[in-house]
Amino acid sequence: MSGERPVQFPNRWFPVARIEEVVARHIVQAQVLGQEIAIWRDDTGFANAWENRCPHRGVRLSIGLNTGHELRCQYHGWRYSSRSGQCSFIPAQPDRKPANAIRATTYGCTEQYGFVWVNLSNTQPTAPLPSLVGDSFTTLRSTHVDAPLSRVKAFLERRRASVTDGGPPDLVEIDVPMRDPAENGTMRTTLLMQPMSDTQTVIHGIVAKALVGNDRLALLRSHDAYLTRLRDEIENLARRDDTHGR
Amino acid sequence: MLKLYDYELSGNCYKVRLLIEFLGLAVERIPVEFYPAQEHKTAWFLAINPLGQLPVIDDDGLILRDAQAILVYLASKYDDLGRWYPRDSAELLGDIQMWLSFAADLNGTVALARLHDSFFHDCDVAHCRAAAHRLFRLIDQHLWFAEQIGQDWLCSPTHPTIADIACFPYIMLSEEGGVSRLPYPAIRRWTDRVKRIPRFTLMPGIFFASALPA
Repeated sequence: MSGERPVQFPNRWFPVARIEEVVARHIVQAQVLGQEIAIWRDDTGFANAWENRCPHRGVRLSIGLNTGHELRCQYHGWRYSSRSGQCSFIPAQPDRKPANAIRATTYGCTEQYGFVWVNLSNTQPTAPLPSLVGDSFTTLRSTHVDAPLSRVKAFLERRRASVTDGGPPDLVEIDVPMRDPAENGTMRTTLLMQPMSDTQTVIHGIVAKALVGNDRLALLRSHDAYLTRLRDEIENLARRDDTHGR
Repeated sequence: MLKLYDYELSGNCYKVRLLIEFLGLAVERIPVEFYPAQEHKTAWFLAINPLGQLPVIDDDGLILRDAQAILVYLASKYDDLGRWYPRDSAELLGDIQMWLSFAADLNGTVALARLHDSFFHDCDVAHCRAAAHRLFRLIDQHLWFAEQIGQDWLCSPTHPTIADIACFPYIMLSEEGGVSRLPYPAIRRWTDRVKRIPRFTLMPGIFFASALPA
């Protein structure tokens, strides 16, 4: 029931969303290592990452309501408080305080380098975040890939990208060709891998340069076009290999 | 009195019901039992719409089929503020039409997958789902870059249009056809925004979003 973690997750931080995409009164639906996660910000700005499963009947919390201080399950309206995940109210028993044992499963959640990071393990102390960029950076649009992490990394390694293995999380440094010749041809880009499941991966990206306005938009578009093409190649190869039973 | 030939579980009928609510129109709903009675294929309904499809409106004798066409008509005729279908902007009209056609593509893919899973319709559902994901990737990318320039809606920077209404229902009901929206965070934020349009109304399977802080 609630509070138990039958699966042991590694003590590692994974990026799951760009900070500005965890917007007010919204619930982000994400997945890491096969585990679905509901990520939501309360009205003080605190970011929660919970197992995407109401302790009552297992309905996804991500189809519920973020009221700014609690999540309300869509099914029977059970309410869970920000930070603790403690069930605070059961509509069917409005005069009773819910038992302490009834709580949403909470995960480690922090924000850095423009991303929200989640650690599914309950090991203390938690592993440190990787050291990435300084104070000046631009986060890119994330790319969803219908392929496992192993395939994504193998593909990038063949492209002579520099892959750091097993680190928290897997990082890949690549040089993305820039459309604007004034940018000296390429932009050094760090890709951060989010293993969603055995079959899907999200690639996040960051460049160590703070851009604004039209320059920022141009970078976002050119990188998105590049990463989308990369994604299409990875998926085509995966489909071809699946057809041939590889 | 505007008449709407309507089936409660039809996403296409829901598009018309949404705009009717947004415009505050009075309507007489005439139920046509799509499933299981297949009333839309009976002689009396085929006499109204030979294509045997819902929705159809009858506005004082003007008969229109096709949800997208009905949205164009109702917005043009009854939206005094001219925002849902701004006829004074050729650029916006072109853009809106692009996304109305996209909504028709959703009909043939993600809506068909829902028909298969929920209404036992026979089709190549794996193909429908794969095609739906390709469309979802496209609209997620469009919405993401729109957000980057402060645009909350498919076509207009400042307000929703019938393009948003046309694309919303079958995207929102996608899980009933086995298409998850988990990989599409921009779509998920947009559906919250559509739900916050004043006078937004529900259909089975769709729930209200949280109000924004005051």
